[in-house]
Amino acid sequence: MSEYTIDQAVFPLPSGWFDRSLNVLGPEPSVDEFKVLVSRADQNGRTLDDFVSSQVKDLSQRMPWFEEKGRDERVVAGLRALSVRSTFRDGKNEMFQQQVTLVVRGKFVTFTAASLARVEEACSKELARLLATVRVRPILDEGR
Amino acid sequence: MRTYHTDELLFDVPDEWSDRSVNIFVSAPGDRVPFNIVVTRDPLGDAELRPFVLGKLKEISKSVPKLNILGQRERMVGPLSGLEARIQWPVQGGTMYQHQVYVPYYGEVLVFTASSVVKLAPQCDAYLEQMLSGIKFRKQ
Repeated sequence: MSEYTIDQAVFPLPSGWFDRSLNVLGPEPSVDEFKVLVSRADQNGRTLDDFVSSQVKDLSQRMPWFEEKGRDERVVAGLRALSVRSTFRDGKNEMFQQQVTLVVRGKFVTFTAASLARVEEACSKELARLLATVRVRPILDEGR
Repeated sequence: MRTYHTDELLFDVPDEWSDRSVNIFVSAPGDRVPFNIVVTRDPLGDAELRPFVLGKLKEISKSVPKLNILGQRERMVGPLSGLEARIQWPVQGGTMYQHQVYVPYYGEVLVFTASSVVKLAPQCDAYLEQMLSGIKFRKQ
């Protein structure tokens, strides 16, 4: 049994269970379809670079008109992170997204900011603001 | 701005942002898992919890044929007063079971849903109770 933290509470989680949580945050309603997602994947021995490459490959196969616009390295919460900027089509809308992935305690944690492509600069700026405030949660339960 | 808490990280978000996160916990890797517990959030505003839950169950019964509501009742979750419902419905080759617990939290409803096949219902309930019996809510 380990403690699991969500924004509203902390609760015990049975040992050996897997976390597939997805955080969905943003203004509601959002005229520019802006939102921030936080997703997780088990590291399972993969490197950050390999994971991000496989993520991009997966997106390119799933998203209509997916195009990678750029990739760079940065530091988030004192940890190495990789950022990928891309565009894709969602129905009639040209969309933009920026994904920033880092490794935290054996998990890949990916922040995805998405919006209409016409406001991509504002989308990236808001993500940068958020990422500048990211801190790693201190481990309270050493048994986890 | 306020601090948003996840299991791994903390970060600051504007006060007006909404949280439509879905926490999904599965007892095994892969697609066919014996047990899962999902935590979702819905806006409640000034509405009462009971009509909200009735509305949710009605909504589910529209999309799930032959849904059977086994029971509903009030319950406490930590210091908060909530409602719980147990439902089941037939699927190909068996019957699914779900135990839902609804808790009002600062104008929202947190919904804890544990699911399994009906023959594993007692264990499914036990996992959910384990989680809820140790829950500590964050004060805003």
